[in-house]
Amino acid sequence: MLAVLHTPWFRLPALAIVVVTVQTVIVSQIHLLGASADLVVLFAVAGGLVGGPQRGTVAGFVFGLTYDMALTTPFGLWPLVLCVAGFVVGLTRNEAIRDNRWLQTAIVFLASGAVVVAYAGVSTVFGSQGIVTLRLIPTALVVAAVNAALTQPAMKVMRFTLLAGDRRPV
Amino acid sequence: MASASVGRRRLLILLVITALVLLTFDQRGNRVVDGVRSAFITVTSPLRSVARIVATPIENAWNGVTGFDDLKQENDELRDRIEAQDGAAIAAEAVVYENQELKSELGLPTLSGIDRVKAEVISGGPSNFDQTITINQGKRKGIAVGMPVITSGGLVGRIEQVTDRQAVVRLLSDPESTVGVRFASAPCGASTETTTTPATTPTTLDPSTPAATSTASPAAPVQPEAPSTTEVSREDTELGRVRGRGPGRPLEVEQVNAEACISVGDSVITAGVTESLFPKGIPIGRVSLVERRPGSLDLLVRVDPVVDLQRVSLVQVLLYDGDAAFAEG
Repeated sequence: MLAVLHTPWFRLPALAIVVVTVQTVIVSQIHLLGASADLVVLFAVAGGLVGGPQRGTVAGFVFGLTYDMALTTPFGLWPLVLCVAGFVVGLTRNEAIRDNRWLQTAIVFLASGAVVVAYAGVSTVFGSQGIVTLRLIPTALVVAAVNAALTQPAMKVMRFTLLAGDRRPV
Repeated sequence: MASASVGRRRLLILLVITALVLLTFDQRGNRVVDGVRSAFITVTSPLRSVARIVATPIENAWNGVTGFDDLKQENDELRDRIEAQDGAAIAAEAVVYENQELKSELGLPTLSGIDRVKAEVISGGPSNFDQTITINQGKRKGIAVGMPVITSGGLVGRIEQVTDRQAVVRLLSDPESTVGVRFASAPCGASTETTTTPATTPTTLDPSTPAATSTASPAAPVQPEAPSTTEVSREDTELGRVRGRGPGRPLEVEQVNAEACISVGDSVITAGVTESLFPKGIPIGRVSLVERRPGSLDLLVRVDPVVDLQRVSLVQVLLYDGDAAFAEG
């Protein structure tokens, strides 16, 4: 029974709840250039980088679903965007990237900025208004920069979460 | 580079379809989705409380470091505004009380007659795309979804989600937020647009603090009553629907008749029309732009909200049930 606690099936949702709580209560209240960082995006992207496309997709979906439960934005948008992000980032994973921290940081920077822009675009397609504005640029830059700075700690946490007890190559 | 095998692609497609199904349910107003969200907020509430205790000093320190210059400048500007408004407040006070007295004699509803719950804002928007705040009162105090939330200055938004001890308020600046409004200022000089009813002075939100009214209408708190010269009523032509345009941006009033007589500086209040969630007379802001677009049936009207929606700290929830109010007639 307790063995479940050591599997990604338990660790991933538990981590998602903690990250979403920290994001919505603490991080979202600290603004830089009128925008706040987004740890949920960071961990979803890091999930792809650590676990590859399959685990990245699942991680993105779980983080997105948990995020949407805490927000009032259309339910299902964040899982949609983040599972695709986790998949795409997972596809970039190879030996060169696995050993190069600068490349990992660059991928998190680009992916995080792209996720913010993609979310705004998809949200507009689904009827939300006033999201695609010039304010999107500083928001994407702040999210990308802060996430890039936190790449390594996030990857360590995601490695512990997704690869718990699994030594096989992903 | 990792390859996108058939299994991986199937998983992605499955999860994308699941997300789309959830989106469809949400767009159609599924109660299960609302229930899941409320349950999540309730279950994670203790975790949020702990996080908030840890976060508050950090936030304060950060805001102190990054916002000191802005705060000082804002403080100076506010002092100037208070001085300018002192005179107007005295004149407005008398008119507001007279107005309320007359309304109560006629048995008409007034804002001051609606019960309210004071609440503190405990959290701002939880993401870059969510224009909401969380307050520290909920169902236990009688708060329900849809109730208007105000400050002593004017309208802030409406209750979007509610749990026993907390409620989420959708701000007026959210593009999903719409409110029926009317324009309340001096009648136009043109004879065709004089009114049958006197222009409305925004009703005070708190009778114990009449100065609040002047905050909502600093430029022209007291308007002379216009004589009834034509059959065109201001109320008929100068209604609209205000919609948010995102944080820090002026609100936009939609569906304003191109014939309407509106000018920059006019005050905007809730219309309180049939089935509205909001009672009549809550100040929203002042017109900052009026543009007549050739070929359009509507005016482009922008409004600066009277409340700084990015810095709300104390609010009042009006325990007002729009449906019940109109059912009672």
